[in-house]
Amino acid sequence: MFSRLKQAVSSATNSVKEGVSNSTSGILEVIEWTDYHPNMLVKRVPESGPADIKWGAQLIVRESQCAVFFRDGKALDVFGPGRHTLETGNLPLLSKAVSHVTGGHNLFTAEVYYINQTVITDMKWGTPNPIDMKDPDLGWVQLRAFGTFSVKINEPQLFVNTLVGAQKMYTSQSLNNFLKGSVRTRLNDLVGTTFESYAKIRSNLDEMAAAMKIKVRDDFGKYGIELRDFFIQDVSVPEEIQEAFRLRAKMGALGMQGPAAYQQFQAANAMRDMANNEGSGGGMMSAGAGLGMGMMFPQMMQQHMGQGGYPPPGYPPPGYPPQYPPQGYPPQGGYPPQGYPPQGGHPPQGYPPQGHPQGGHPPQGYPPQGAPQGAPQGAPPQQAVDPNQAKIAKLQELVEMGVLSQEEFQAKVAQITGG
Amino acid sequence: MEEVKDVRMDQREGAGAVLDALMSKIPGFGGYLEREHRREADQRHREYLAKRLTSKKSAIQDVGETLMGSGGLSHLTALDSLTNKIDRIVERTRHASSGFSSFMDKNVVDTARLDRIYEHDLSILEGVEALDPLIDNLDTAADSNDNVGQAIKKVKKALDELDGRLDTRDKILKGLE
Repeated sequence: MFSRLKQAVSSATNSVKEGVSNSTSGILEVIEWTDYHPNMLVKRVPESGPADIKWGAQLIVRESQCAVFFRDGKALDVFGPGRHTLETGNLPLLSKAVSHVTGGHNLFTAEVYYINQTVITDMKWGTPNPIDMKDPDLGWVQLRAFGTFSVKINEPQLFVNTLVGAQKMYTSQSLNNFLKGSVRTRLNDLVGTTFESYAKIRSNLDEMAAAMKIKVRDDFGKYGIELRDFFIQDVSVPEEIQEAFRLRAKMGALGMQGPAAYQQFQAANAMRDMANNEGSGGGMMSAGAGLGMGMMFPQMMQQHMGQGGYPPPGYPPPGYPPQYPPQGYPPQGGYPPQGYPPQGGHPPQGYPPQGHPQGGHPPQGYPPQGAPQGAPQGAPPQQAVDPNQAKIAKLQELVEMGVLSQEEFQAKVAQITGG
Repeated sequence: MEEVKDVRMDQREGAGAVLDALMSKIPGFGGYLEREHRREADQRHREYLAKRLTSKKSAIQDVGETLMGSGGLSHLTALDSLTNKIDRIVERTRHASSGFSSFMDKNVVDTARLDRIYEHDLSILEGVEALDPLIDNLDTAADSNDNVGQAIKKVKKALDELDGRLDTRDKILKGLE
């Protein structure tokens, strides 16, 4: 972009040089700015110092341009579009300034500023720092906004005097940087005084843009600039608040309103997510929870919508939730019990006991021949278990683990069997 | 030179009261009496119109400020469309076809047509002046935020008529009307 601008400046300079080529000893006879870049707002001729201009020289000003004659830092005469022969008649102010005669020519000394008077479009504005707004619904929120605007230099003399000074050129970029500060300030003011809620701003972007045009009118006008268009492309709040808006819309679509409904909605969503996420909670359990919630949710909705209150009367039932941990837990005496784990490592030596079938489980030959054929496949064998035998088996295990000695085991067995 | 002299004489006789009216309204307006000065006179006329219209735009923006204070935010967009319309008319006026024919034009603006242009330019000027009471009325409506929409419609209608008159001027110059 800068290279294009440089090219335009160079081209404009050449154009002026063409005019100078008709002159004698650097005296300007034709002054014009033929080729200018749209981003270039002001071009000084000559680029530095004053020029000697011949009385009767031609000044060519194109449509959407104007030329301002300066002398000693003062704007004197302004020319609109057309071909002008510079003479005392159309340079009333300059003719009063010093003029001199060189080489038989009547000359006057001045600088010419060409000003681009097209509408300068696509100037950008934005809020690098968010605007704090106290919203009646959301509390303090931080707004961000951005957009474009277009301006036109409607008072060239004022513009050159106040903003351009003695610069050899002035670009729309420089102007944009200067003006967007004013836009930000006025937007801040407008948000604080006229558009008091985010919802109102969102639904009145056109009105806000029109209000901005009125607000910045004087700020721009004092520099000879007129604001032509002002567009607001977006006004936004932080992502988490946008998410809350989306959630509210979802709940609204389901007919749910209020903070209690929010809790209900969140709980339902959490359970649904748990059921969907098979990896984290265990497939069957999650599926069960999901199924349960799928069945519960319509009921919850019905309760909410039908009775208008949550939780329903009588909920939770007395005694719910149960105390956890249950009384008596952990057992007195500490956990794990003394003597555990047994010395000697695990499993204890000699385990499995001799006679236990080797070669995996179930052992070959199981089930034994002659097992009842009528039993359904997969059903455990129906056997009556003797409680004394079960106790003895437990004691046996304790012996194998080394908790009980053989003598103690025998004594216990005798006690159980009554022997 | 004789031809120029004849045209000048014809114009002096034909223009009459319309020219007098234009000269009385536009400061420094020398009219199209001198053929060689038509270009300047035409430019001066158009520039004058553009400036008058720009001042109306400023008055409408003042109404916008009043509306912002009186809670009439909903009218700002319609008001903005009025200023946009004025911008359009101002730019059309500034860059309109000149009220003279150049050497290269096939379509020569003769005396009779020039007279029609004088009349038409006068009607455009009157149209601009007719905006004043309408904008005053709009300002009063904005103060109380009452009947603003109706007042805006009236200004809009007047601006549309003005825009239409510029179309007609263009057509007269091109010999289409």
